[in-house]
Amino acid sequence: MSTTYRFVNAVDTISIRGNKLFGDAGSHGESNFPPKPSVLSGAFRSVLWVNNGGDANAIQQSPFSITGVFPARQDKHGKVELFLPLPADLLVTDKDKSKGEGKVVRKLKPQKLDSAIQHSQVSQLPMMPILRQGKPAKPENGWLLNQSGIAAYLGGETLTETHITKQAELWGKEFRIGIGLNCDSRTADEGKLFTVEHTVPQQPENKGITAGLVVGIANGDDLPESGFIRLGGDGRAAEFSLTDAPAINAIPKSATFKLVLLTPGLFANGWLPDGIEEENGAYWLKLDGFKARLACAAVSRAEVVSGWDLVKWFPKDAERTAPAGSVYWFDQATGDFAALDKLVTQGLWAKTPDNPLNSRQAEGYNRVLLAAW
Amino acid sequence: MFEQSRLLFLYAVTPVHMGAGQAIGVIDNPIQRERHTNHPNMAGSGLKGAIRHHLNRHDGWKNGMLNRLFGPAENPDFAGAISFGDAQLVAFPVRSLKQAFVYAVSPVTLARLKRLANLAGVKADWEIPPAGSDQCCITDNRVLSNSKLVLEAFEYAAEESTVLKTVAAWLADNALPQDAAHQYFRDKIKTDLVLLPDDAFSHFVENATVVEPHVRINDESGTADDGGLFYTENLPPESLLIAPVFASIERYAKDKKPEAHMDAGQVMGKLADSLGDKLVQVGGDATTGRGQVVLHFAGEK
Repeated sequence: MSTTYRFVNAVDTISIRGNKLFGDAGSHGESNFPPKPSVLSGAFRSVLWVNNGGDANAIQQSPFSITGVFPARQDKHGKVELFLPLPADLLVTDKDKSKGEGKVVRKLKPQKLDSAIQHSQVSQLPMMPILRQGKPAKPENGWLLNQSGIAAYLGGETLTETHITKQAELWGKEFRIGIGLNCDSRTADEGKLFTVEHTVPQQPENKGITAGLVVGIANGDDLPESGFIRLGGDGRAAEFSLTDAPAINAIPKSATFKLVLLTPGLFANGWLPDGIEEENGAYWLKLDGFKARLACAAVSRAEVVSGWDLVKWFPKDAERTAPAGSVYWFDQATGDFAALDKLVTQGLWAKTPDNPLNSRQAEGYNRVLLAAW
Repeated sequence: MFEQSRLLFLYAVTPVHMGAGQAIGVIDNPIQRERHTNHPNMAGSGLKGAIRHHLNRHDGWKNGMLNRLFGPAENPDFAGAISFGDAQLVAFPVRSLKQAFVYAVSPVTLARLKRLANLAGVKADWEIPPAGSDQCCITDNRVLSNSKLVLEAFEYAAEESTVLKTVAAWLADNALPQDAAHQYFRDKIKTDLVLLPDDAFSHFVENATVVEPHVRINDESGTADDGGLFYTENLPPESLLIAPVFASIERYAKDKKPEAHMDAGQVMGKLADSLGDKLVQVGGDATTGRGQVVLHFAGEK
């Protein structure tokens, strides 16, 4: 399997719509960023479709797939820096708000709870992710793990504020009001007032930095190195160009490790990844010649993905996903660790061929990273 | 996928009111502005809608052609084949003690122009002149008064720049129709283009737009009605903007492939043939003369 990477940047603004209804008078269209991998899959498959003369079946049967979508920025020399949305086991808070002393990054740590402690988590996991901090502090949204932060996180190191970057340094949001014009009267039509949220990525006028996405593509040999794709609502344009493979360090193999969802997880059992089976009151990840116990999990609130099937001309089922950044801790790992590498290159998919979610595999869901515990 | 891209210049010949639709300042009806630069702009959706209206009764766009290429007005069975990006400000007219007004540009506007030109495959082999914090670049010292550039109530030190002259010549060749009616303005761009530092440029685009007070006259008394005073902002005439335009193959509803199926080159060609060097109305207040812009595709003679 050959994997290449494209840097994708919007020509001006883009609006990646979510799943909320949009169509009535006064509707507000939300914009999501970064987009779900299926959005990029559809955009690049459209390129293949145009180039192969409109043969959709050939594309469906090809091994083309998305392997990851990273927020990124490119400097004026073309060097690309990757980012990750904060994994679910990281929280950013103020060190001391009254003194304005910067940020502190805290990790949730798996811990066994005393049986006397009553809690609401209904699960058979032996540990719960616990936040330890000296005094109450509200975690902040809008932070990304930067390139050095990704390396430190995957290596299991302590994180500091140098490892995080404010999301606003890469993109912002703006609201646009729209009307529908009546062709005959040339005035605004009744009931056609709406607002749409647009994402405004950093453009190179500011220190030569361009914000965008790095998209991993497997078996995309027929894809041109560069061009324009139609991305999101209003048919807005984005440019894509070939970029180097991102440097993501592999972790040393050990009996304990973390599995982090790089893209949303579409699993038959909700939050529980496919390939994990219950045995003797515990959950076990079982791969070819490899076994590890699921010890703990930090999974954020479910997100819904849907889409449009252009071949069947039908909306795809709306499915709940475990969000990107969800973290699963494993211990008692034994066997052939090479099976874990396969998990990273192929994603977390059940072996059963009749899994109805398998059609989403090429769209880039269920991709994972491995990190030290 | 967009297989074709072109660069569309928009030159305002009357004040243009592309309304933001919301206001929190002293101006009741402000124009659209970019979030990150606060420069006036025109949202791609508004531009596409205005051009769709312009072509609505155009001979070559009848019998469903408009819906085929711009997308259906109702029942969105398929997507349009044409996409307009936001129109970004390139040059802004500023009142000058000499030569009535100058075309002001800034390093940011030129950088964006060059980027869009490269995206559209238009050769723009000029550099962006460096601008000091209080130093301007000019193309001809005829805009100076006592060796100073005087814009509105501000005085700037300025020096001639051969680099900026190259930019001005490129704009004169690419931004305006090459007919006799625009000869004066092509020449004026060559001589009266000035590069301001970004902060000075931002000051003018935020404070030197056309702001018009309006009142509502009572039909019977012939005097202003109470509560009928409002302020409307316009982009001034002689402003120059640029928008990227993209085209894909013609789309169609499932199993309804048209007999004559246009590729991206044909789509872009049809659009350029219909719009090149045309006067088009964009934005609001059309019946009071607002929004007249001349369109010109870069690289067209």
